Amino acid sequence: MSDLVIEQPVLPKISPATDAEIVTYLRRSCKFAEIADLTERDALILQLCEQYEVTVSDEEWQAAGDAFRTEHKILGVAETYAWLARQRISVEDWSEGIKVRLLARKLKAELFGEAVDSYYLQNREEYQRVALSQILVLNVTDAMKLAKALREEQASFCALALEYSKGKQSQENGGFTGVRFLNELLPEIAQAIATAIEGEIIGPIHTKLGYHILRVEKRFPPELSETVREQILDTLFEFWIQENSKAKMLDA
Amino acid sequence: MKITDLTSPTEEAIPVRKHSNCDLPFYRPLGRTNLTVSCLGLGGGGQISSEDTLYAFDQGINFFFYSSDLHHYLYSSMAGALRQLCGRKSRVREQVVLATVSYIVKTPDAIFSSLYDQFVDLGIDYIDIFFWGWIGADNAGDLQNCLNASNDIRGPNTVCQRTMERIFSTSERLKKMGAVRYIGASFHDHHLARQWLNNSLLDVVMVRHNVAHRTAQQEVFAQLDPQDSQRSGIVTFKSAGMHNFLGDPPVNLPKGCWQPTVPDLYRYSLSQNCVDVCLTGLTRREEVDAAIANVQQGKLSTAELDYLALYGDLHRQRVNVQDVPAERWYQPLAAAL
Repeated sequence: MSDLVIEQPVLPKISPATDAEIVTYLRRSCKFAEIADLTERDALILQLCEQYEVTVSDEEWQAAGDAFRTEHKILGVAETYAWLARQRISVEDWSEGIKVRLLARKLKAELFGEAVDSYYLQNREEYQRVALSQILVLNVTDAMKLAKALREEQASFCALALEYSKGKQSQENGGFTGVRFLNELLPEIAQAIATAIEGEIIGPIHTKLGYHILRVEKRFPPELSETVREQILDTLFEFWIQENSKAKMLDA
Repeated sequence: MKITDLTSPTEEAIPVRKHSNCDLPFYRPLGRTNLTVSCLGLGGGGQISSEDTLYAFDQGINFFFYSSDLHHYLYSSMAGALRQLCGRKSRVREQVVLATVSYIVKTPDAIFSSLYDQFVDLGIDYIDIFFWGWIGADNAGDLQNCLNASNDIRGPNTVCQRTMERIFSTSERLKKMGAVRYIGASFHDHHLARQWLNNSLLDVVMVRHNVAHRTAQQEVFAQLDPQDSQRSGIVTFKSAGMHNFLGDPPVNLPKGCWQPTVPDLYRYSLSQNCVDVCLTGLTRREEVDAAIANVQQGKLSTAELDYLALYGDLHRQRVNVQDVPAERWYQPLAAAL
């Protein structure tokens, strides 16, 4: 047998992308508007911070930087510089990013911190979480067969999800879709599982995605954790921005 | 400007007075809570005066149970003492375990009106255990609803603490402890109590238990492991009877048999597996002394426990005197002699 020799191609040398080239890339990949929105959001936050006299002390800034590095496991000086080099940003760029995020958090707390508790108490049930499994199929006949097998033949949910589910996450993870807040779920699904007991087979439930067979693995009662607090602050802030934008448009 | 430092980021013990050390220690941990409680608890159902409530505290009782809604009229006679022991300026607050109850069990939000009443009534910074009261099959769903909010109610930095701070202004203790430290429930349905044992949302389980009503022994106490430091705390109530006063001898009790005192009936509860506190309705200081002296005798013997179960059955007319061998009636008395 003769050896087949494939000539290795010689890749041309490419210089690191310039800022202008990156902007061009964003335009042609249709990501420009998304990044522009985020840029404008930062500008808005900085102006609002000035308006409401929200500032960051050096200690807070340093602590936020330390927290970021702990979270990303960038613990030493050398590792930090190596990480910055991989990100192609300077310490100043990174520091500014940390500062803007910190200012945004302080601004939201300044504007809506006092309202978080009452908003949470009024919408408490939405912050219930469930560990949820599902099998998603596209036609009702398949869905009915699978539900019957699960209810009457004690078939394995995991095995059926691996074989039949058309949902990417549920197919890959044997049906398990993760721990989700009720308010993140499609309304039909949230309603279907509202009173379900753990382990019960629910469905098929019809949504725009297809037919879902569901199982609540575990329920987690609502709790005003730090994550939920941040979520509520974001919700109230976004609502406030939207209302103000509408009012501005009407005035114009 | 930039971040400059890139180097590596990096309970107070409650003094309690000692009592004799025996198989029935006067002070004990209350299940998985961080509370040290006296085995005898004092509620206001017996309309004990504030003066005698303070006397009970001086004698070592540190678990006090207070209601601000149902039975408030009865409990209010001990309120003055609780204000003194647990009020904002108290210097002995950390030595007291204040348990309160609300019988209005519907939604978690109901707690705010109960806490408001209790904070106003007693002038306090925090409550050690808040009990949802009178739980049975008819309000099991409401209890589930209320317990789902436990993590928003108990401990520091919660919605509950912040709400109370807004109403009453903050204090060091309120900040440190939260408005409520632990959650309890008082059950009238033992089967339901069993379902909630060792649940992370419920710290203390309170059940009715006495010599005539012993269901809790199998349904609740037997389900707990005394070596498990994470088990539910257990409090019993109605140890001297609910509708029948068990301190009175049953009509058919054979002559010359042991007639247990009310403190003996408390000790019956405290001799059961994992019972941490027997809640009493003591009415005056002499009863405080008698109850403390009684529990210092240690747990009841097997023969005494057997006899008291028989005594309870006779109270409920569940046994014929003639059907029981004489030694079971007289054994505890003979052992005492």
